[in-house]
Amino acid sequence: MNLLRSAALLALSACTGPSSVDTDPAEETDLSTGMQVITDCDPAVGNICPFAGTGDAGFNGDGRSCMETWLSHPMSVTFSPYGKPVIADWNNHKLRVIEADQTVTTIMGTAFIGDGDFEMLDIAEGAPGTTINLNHPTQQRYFPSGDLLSASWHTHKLRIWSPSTGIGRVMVGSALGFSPLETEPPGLPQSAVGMQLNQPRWVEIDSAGNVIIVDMRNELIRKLDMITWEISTIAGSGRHGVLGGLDDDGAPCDSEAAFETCFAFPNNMNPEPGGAIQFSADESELYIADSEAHIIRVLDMASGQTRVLAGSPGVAGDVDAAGRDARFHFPTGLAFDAGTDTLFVADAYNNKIRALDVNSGEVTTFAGTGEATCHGEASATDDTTAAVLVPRCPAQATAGDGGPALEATLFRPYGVDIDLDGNVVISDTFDHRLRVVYR
Amino acid sequence: MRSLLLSFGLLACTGEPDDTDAPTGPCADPASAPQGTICSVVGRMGWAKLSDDGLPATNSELYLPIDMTVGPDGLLYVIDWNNHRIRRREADGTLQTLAGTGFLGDGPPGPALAANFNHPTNLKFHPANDQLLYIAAWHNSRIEKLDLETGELHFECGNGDRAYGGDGGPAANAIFDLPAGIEFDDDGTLYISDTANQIIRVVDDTGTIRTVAGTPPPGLLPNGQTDRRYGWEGDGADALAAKFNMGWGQRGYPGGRIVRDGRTLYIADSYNFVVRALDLDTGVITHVAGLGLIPGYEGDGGPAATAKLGFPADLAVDGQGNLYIADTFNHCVRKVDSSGTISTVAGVCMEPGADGDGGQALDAHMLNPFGIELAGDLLYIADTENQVIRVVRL
Repeated sequence: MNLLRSAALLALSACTGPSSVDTDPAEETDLSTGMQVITDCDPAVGNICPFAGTGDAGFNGDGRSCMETWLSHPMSVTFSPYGKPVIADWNNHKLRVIEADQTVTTIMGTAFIGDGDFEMLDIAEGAPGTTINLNHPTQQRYFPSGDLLSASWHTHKLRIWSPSTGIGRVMVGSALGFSPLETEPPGLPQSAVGMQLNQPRWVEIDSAGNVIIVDMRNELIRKLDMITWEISTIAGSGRHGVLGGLDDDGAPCDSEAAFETCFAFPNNMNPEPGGAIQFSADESELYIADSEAHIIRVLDMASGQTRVLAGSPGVAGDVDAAGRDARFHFPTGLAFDAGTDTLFVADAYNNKIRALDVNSGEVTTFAGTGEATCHGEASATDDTTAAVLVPRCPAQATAGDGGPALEATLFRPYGVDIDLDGNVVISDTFDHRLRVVYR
Repeated sequence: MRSLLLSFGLLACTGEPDDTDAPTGPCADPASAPQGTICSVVGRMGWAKLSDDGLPATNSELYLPIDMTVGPDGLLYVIDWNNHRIRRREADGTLQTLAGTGFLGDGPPGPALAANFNHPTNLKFHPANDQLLYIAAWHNSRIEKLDLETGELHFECGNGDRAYGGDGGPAANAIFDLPAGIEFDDDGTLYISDTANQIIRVVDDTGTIRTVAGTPPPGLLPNGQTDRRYGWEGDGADALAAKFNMGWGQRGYPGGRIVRDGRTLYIADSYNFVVRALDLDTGVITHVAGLGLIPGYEGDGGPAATAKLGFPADLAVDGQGNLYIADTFNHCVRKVDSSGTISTVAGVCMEPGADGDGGQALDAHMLNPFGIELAGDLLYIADTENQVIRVVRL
């Protein structure tokens, strides 16, 4: 029993990293259900451990330990300046934080889905975050002020939430659309008043406080100047297509110039989240996950030229190699570690986290064997016409938790983030939990 | 409380704080329970989850169930809304998934268990083919069709865009904006509540679509958005001059469903907080229930047209002239009898809660029930935010 309790302690501690084992879980562990047990989760360098979630997809309320809290297709985690994780709990339509006592609290979102509060106060002065309906929030970042900026993906808005007041409000966006229309020549700043987005998937905040937006279905990367309140395109022609191929209208996508190039951010009907960005340390370059093109690109902010950093445009695969010899399959999340010049890539359909050395272009596997984690779906159907949705495999105790991340399995991870200690936190999306790899 | 600390998504790792035993007492067989008894028949009260298949329905979690229908086979078909799935309670009482992987998406047409939805809202069987289950795929902006014989999903109406278009042409190419409700005529004519466009549309036997009620958007606004003509106008006159308010885009809750009683099509005009009736022979629209414009709860025992409704999301008829209303934000189900008098038949209106199974429906508490369905003397209720399907023996 002592062993089990210590396992529970280790598991719990993962919520906020290994340095804060200060909570005694006064819970009874009941093994009568035949649940398999992690007997050890050693936070050694390179090991993978549970971080939050149980693997059950759903909502079982706030106030539980992060290890007892259900998530539903989590997409990303962001750490506050003080290290507090906030989770884009995507199909629960909520932003949730893990508190210092390791319980989970919803900060924005309700029990339902939608777009704002019933009285529509969130498009004016704001409304309590827990009265605001969200619809599939994908990602978020903290402003230096401490306010949280949310890519409110399926409602085509960016929302701001204040930790000091608990109030959320719409910052930009209304119904889906694209406005203001592009300038001639492209990229000139225009008033952001009334601007429209189409499923903004990702936001970054640069050192000057500007917001950089992956405007997914508009196939653009846009910059919102928070001082002048002007919006401008910084990359993308608005055309969807794979570099080197054709756009949706049959025109060639052969330019790598910022305002002429195509992106292959998902833009079919009801697409999945794709398109991600990260700045280099000095912000002279912007790394771009061009998800449906299966490549990582880089934009030179000064010259406005892009180039392929790794992967082969339009060719999906799973190959560790350098530059264009490497292969990805729907790279959809990015995290940059400036200390090692490493860009971590959530390589969703390969069930892996990859590591890209931005200097050499060398791509290696950081976590995941490539095999999808058994989702444990106990489907009893005998219908032979039924498609097999998820791997039907024997119960897999831990998906590799407690051992080296390279020997662990993931299940379509859409997000990868780095905590304040430099550990890599994986949104193991289709396993409905978060995991951490210690560094 | 049983701990989940050591559970990591394994087979049958449903180790919940409580184990739901098979229902006992009056709910052991809800169909023969004393009159007025309410029972949960699918889902577990308060537990929102993407659950495994093959478990007893009362031991299987749903996530925001929003509607259901009883098939010609007598089985209960359920929209597991936030799981983007269609599920069925089998004859042996277990729950199975028929369509949807659990992830958001848009089809593709083909094997239904490999297809995705984005929040489907309504189910109806085709009157002439008991293997064809039609689905209002609300946020996909399509009407889809599940062939139970082959297990294949088909796109039936709508090109997936969210706007207004296509009247006078083939329904497959039509453009909808959040089609929330569907209903059939006996001859297979399909009615669609195209809620954010604020119109009711019909697909005739040649597959041509047109508008039969409401004012179609005349074009686009300067910002490129559809110029929707919402309001509450036109009762007592030609329905093509009428205005509805069934919800505005994504900000709106999914109301606006429709049900037919003979040659009358009842319309849940949810954001006007009224129920209206379209005479399918004359094309005239009338006001049936709800004082309108502001939500509230008033008027039981009196005329339905001056009573207040909380948010009529869904409707059902019993063939004897009685109309049932899912009065969603009042947390109850109302009934308008053939004389036009309104009453409450399930739930304690204005009192959200999660109790009462095995007792009288009028003493039970619900939480934002978005769907109702009548099958004989059984009134099914999607008690949405309680994550269960409940049934009342009328």
